Amino acid sequence: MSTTVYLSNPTITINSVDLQDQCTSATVNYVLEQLETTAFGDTARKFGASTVTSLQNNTVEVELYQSYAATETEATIFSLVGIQTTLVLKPTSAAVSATNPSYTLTGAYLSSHTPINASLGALSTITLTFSGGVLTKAVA
Amino acid sequence: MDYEVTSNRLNGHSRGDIIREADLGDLTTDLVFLVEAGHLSPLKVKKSAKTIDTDAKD
Repeated sequence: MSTTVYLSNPTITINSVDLQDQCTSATVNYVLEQLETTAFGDTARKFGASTVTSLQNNTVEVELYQSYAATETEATIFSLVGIQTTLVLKPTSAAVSATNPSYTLTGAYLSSHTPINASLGALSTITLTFSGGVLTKAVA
Repeated sequence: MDYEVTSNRLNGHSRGDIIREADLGDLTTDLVFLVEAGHLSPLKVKKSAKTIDTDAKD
């Protein structure tokens, strides 16, 4: 059995900015909306068909350490709120291949950001959810 | 327009590299966001102080 354990190598770029060393969590949700195609005569619900193409409804959620230093998290993220951007995520920093695919979400929308998320004695983190956009997978 | 990379976070590029917008692939956003965030600095075109005579010499 082969599984994947994430230790230190997953890579993430947001708007072409490498934020790997600020990121602690990343989740890519690849969703095609479920369209019901059940018709008279069917004895069970059916969804989708080879001739039915539904819309993608993707999201990417990332958790980053907050940093207000130049060119760090806050400087990179703040101006992206309310617009579309592109994210690229890979399981490891190695070259893109069939065993290290690259996932690109183009046209993802960032609707909100928490510039200050402060708790006494704790590292500040932010959680971002990018919605929409077209997800493509590359293996070369 | 050319840009100088001014951070070490720009994917595939190092600080000091001179790049063009096309070098960053499909960004979706305008480069102004990378300039505002300090990752890029637009390079100004320097005008030559002297004129250059390009006519062939006799």
